[in-house]
Amino acid sequence: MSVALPWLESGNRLLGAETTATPPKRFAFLFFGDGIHPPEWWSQGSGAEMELGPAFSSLEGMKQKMNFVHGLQHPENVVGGHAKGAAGILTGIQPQGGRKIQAATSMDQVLAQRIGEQTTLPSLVLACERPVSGFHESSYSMMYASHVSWSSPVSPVPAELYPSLAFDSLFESKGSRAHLSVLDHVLEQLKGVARQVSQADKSKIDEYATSVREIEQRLVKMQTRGKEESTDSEILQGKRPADGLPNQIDEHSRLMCDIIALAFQTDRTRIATLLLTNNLSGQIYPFLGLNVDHHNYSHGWQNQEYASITRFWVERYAYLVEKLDAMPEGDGTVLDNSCVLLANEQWTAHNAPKIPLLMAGSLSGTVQTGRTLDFETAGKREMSSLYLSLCDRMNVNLPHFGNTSERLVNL
Amino acid sequence: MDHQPKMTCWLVLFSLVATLTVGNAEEKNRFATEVQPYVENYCVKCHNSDSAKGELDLTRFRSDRDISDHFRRWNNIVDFIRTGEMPPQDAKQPLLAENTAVTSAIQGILLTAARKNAGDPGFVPPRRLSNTEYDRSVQALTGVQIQPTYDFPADPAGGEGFDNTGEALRMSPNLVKKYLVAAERVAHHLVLKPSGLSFAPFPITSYNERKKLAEQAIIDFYQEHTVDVSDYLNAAWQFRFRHAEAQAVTIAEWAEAGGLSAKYLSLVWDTLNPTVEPQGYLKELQQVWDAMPAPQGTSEQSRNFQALQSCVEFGRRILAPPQQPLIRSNAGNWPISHLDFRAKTAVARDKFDRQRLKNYTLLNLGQIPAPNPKDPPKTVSAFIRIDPAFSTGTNYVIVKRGLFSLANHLPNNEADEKQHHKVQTLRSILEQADPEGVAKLKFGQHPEGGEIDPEWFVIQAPAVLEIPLPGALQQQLQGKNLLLPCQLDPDHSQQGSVFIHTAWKSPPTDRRSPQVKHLIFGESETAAGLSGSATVFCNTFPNRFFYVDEHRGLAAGFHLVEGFFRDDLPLVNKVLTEENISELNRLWQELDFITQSAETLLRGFVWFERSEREILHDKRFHFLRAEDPDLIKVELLDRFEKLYLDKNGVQRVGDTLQAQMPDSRYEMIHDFFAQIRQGLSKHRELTKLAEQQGLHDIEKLAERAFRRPLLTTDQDFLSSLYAKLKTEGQAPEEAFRSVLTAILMSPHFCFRYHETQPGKDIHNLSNLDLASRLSFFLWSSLPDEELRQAAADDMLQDDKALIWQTKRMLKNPRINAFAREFFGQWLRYRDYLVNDPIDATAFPDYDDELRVSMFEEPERLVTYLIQNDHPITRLLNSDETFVNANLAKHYGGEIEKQYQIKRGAHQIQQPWKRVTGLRAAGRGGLLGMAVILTKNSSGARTSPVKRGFWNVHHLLGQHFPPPPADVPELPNSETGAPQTIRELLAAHVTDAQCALCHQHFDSLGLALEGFDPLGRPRSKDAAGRLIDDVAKLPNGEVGQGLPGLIGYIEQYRLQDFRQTLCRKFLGYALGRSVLLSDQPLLEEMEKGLEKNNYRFSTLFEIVVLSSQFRTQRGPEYVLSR
Repeated sequence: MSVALPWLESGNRLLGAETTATPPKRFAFLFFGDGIHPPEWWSQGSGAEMELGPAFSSLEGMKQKMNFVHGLQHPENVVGGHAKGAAGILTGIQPQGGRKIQAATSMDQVLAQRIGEQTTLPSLVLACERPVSGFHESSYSMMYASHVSWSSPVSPVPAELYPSLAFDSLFESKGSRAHLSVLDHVLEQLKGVARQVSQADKSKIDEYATSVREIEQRLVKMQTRGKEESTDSEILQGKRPADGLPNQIDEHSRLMCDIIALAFQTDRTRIATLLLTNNLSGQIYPFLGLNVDHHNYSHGWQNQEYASITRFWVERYAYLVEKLDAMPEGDGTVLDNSCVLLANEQWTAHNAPKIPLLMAGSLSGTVQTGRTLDFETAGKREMSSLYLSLCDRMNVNLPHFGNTSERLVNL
Repeated sequence: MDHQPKMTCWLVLFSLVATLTVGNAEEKNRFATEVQPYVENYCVKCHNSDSAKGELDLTRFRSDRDISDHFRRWNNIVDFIRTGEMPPQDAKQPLLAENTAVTSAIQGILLTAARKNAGDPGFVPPRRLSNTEYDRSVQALTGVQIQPTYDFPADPAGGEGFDNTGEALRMSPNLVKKYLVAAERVAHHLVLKPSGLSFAPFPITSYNERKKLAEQAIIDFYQEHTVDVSDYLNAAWQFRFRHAEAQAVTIAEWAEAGGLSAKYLSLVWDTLNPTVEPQGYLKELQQVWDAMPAPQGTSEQSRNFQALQSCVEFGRRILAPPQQPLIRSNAGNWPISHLDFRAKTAVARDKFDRQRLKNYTLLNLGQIPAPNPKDPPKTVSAFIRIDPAFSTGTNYVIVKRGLFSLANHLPNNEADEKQHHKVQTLRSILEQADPEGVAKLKFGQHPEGGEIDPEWFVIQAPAVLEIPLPGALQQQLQGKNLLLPCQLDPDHSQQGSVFIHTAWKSPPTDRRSPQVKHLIFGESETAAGLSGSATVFCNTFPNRFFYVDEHRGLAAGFHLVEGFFRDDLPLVNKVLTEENISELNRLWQELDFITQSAETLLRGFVWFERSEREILHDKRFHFLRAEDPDLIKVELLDRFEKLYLDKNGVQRVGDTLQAQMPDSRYEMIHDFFAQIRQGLSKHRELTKLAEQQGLHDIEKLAERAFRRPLLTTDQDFLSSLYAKLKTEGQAPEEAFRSVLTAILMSPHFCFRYHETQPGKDIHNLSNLDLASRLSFFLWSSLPDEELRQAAADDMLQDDKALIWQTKRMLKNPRINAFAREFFGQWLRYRDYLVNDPIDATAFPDYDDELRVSMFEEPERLVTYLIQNDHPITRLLNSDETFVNANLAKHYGGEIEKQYQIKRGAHQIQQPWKRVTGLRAAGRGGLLGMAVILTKNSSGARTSPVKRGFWNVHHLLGQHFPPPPADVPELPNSETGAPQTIRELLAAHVTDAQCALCHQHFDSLGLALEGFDPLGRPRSKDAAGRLIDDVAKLPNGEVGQGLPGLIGYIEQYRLQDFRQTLCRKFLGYALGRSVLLSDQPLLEEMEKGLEKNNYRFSTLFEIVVLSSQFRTQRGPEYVLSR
């Protein structure tokens, strides 16, 4: 069952009390582990003169809606270290080693806790690779290598692995179905109690019943929403992925991107996190003609196999970006009202002097796009500063995040 | 005020008719003849419908019934007339006789009315649980502290000022939402175990918490059962010399008396006292043991004991298997072989294995330190000591090519030797520095004749060899290690056995130092001879009893993959009782179950073999994904194992899982998969058990939550909801969590209501309802098992049984709920922590710890008074209280000194202690408590008004009209005020209108001016002005300080206190406003107190036995008029 109860709070919007004249702003974060192939990972210039490295060739058509952000840093991850990376990328902190798990609440979950109540799902947390829970030789738990999203310093958010279940959660989560069953039963019991007590006593029982009924109605409205709103149901018709797990990660990750796009388009959530692969990933790429896993190739990061995996994940990201840009909304597209990040916590898989980072969408015009932003020589270049700046633009004002309270200059 | 509930029109009509007829027929109207003339003469001039002074219009009252309907108001009027308050001095004054007549008439009218309905339980509507009741009930249900209502709005108070009053507790959609969130909050603590449902102390939302919960339980168990061998040696020794009168005591009894394991002490005892002549190492042990004199507590004794201890520790070192690192986190480490390695290590902990004995060792004397240039050069010697161990023959040890080297190990090749380690041989160095020494060591010669390597020399045991290093040499060799490779002579000492060790500066004196190495040939007869005793010794003294890794807990210890390994055979076999063992087994089973260990390991394995080893880098394995839900299915697992065997070069029989030729590699792989299969099937089996038990447990839980046996419909609902949630895709634990949510949302849990019987009579509450009522009254929580049983046995209708239960419950620690809720609400300090009037910036020492301590003090004292059945008047004058270190420091003086003496050795903790002598220290009772004084301060200053008002109004029940809106404000702090607060206040009450009320309470507050805003003693205010705490009290007498105030209340206001207490107490117990018809009961309570020396139990007993408490109205009940 979900911890928050978004549908309870969102009654107003459903009842039409609040009409969304301006489209909502969304935030998506895509992560893959084990680093990138640096020789191809570059861009220079901005606007019409912008040139892209081979890793970004799939983004050529989208580049004016993007920012290529170079040189941001992550606290204390400069020395690499497989195990702690994923947990640091979206939290802005360095997790604690040893048996006791201690990270921090990640930026997506901070947003979910602040604005998540406005939608069916506070946030969508997906993964294409299962989490690992052993220990790395550095004595850091592998939980840190396989969770980017943390609902509290001690609790990683369990990510949904199955596309079909992720799709279902857009309509009726298991949790909300259970709530309905619970409330139904409470009403049944109240009827019984009302028969047992005196007429005078009944008013108190009725007070409870009325309150429960009202909550139940809000819940039902939320559940039947897709059926009532014709555009939604057309959009969603026949889109449910098959049960089970796609055999290969290209198909798996594509389906997950589809779900994020659907969720944003239908405003089921405004915050999505997708872990494409873990740090120290065990995923293989037979569809690229490769037999060995990503991490193995990273040891010889100059090789073309490693380069092709980097290109593949950028293509997957481009797929989502294009998809969102093909969805009209207001005067622009869903992409225009979003910020979609792709990041890897490593540079090559064994060091992390800077973060490979792509950014698409302008958050409703609050972020200028079509730029190469290079912070490599800037004095202050914390990844957490970027998060603070993005939160500002999503109207969530945080005094401090991760290891900084400073906004990113020139974003 | 109308305290009658709203009823249907028909009922109201009916009662009106009834009253009219009854009233007219039997009662004359005393109001018209005895009260109205007085009112018209002396009162209505001010209290009329136009200018209802003090919000009182007396023209509204026309009959006896009007008086009894507004009995509170008329009780106040009686008080006002009696005390001479009314009519006011400037109005027409009645004669004293007139006053007496009218007050007794009013009281007569009220009494007549009260008696008509005496014992009426009143109208107590169904209501939801208060926040406190909800929290405490959840704690009773789950056994863990969750406080699910922490973000609920505060409950409104009603009735006599308590939040357990039905009329006030309402339900709304927003609150239902909060209830749902709160219920889920509780459900997050539910964990399904093979033994059924349990509750974790923290919410379980991710794998991390699951693991933490299950793993920590095992680690805690191990810690609790840690074995310190020296405790057992000591106990055995004490036992051997036990007193004559203890001769009959068995070793098992001896162990239990000392809190040790009987099983293990017996084993140690038997080893130290063998029935046959000891051999080998046991013989050495025996000699030490036999030589021990009776323990006498002398230093001689401790030397003797140390000898025994070190003999055992020495034996463990040389005989038991060596300890090796069990965490192998290098990337290539194959999980399957690692598990095999751990299994072998685990079973060998108490096994002697002569194959493991060594005939060779590399002695490292460590680095040669740089000599201090200021000191004159001084020769330092290295010593080698060698002793015969278990052999009587000749014992030669060959020291092969001693080296000075930068490394602490031997060079592997020439490059190491020359470039990296910069090796110099011992012989070459000695030749250069000490040619005589070279000759003494006889390099290159064997004592038995014959030549050996020129860099080698031979020592014969016993011997102590000295190698002196002059200062110059130290300079030259500084930073290098002296390495001596030592080999037991295979030609002349095949049956040899020596202890060998080294030291700098002076020769080692003990043949059993911790550095000793034992050299012996494992194949020799000497070793065979040692085997028997060593086997017994190792069995008694294993190298460890269990293994928990400092950093990784119970992790199996391989790289990256999650897996657990159990390594505790010595503990289980030698130490734990059967009961302990089954508990430990249960904990391990729970770990496996809760973390799904087999599945987790398998999935981790697939991932690891691909990402960290190369074995799966093969197209044949492309079908495998660690994420695949089908991975745990038999077909897939078989396919995986077959391919895995093939890939590892195992020749299989056809398409089976059998190997053509058994080999160890096949065994390891096949065992691993077999263990996974077994783990998976065990998990399925346990899941079924857990579900069955869970369904049973959830019914039991519902029964406790509903405070009654379940009906078939309840049971059907619980099981059908569970089944429904399962079909909707919820896992068993998830589904149980939802069912729990439903239970907590159920009106049977979160509402209190009593089933009514039809008719107009008053009838007894059922046993179950009475049990609920009693436990919510005393504990703010659900009935416990014993009370439920008493109810089920129909015991509660009997007075004696009811009192017995009440007394039992008063002794239970849960009575602190009553202490906090009743007294805290009556005396207005319960919300102190959330509603604190103090300006904390003005008081740097005023921190949260102090605040919480202050808040807890009255609860602790009241709980103590109740549980010891002390007089209730101790609330006013108690000479004792409870303080912790914070509070002791806060109070200072004698209280602090006394606390420090009582706290004694507990220096780190801050335990609460009972202290006495409060009165002598100028405090006493609740009145002098910091929390009361502080709660009635204001900002950065004291407030004599609030303190006085608290005493007179809340504690003594005196009624005042609300203050006018335009009261001038006093300054916020004493430093900012031009005069003392006392003086400013005096100026305020020169206004006669103000004085009317202030004269009744200000003086009581002024007597407390000797306490600063936080309740600390003071003689000056914050601005340095002297404090005056002499006050002219309302009766005209002068009192000073808290003693004066206490004396005044004890002497003149005890009745007020008693009356107020009884009214509040009854209101809280019944959860409603006190009615006129309660008057006889209130009088009974008061008389009871007087008769029984004000014992607390009197109030509880009278109320619990009262009709009000034990009955309820039928739906058609009508008040007699």
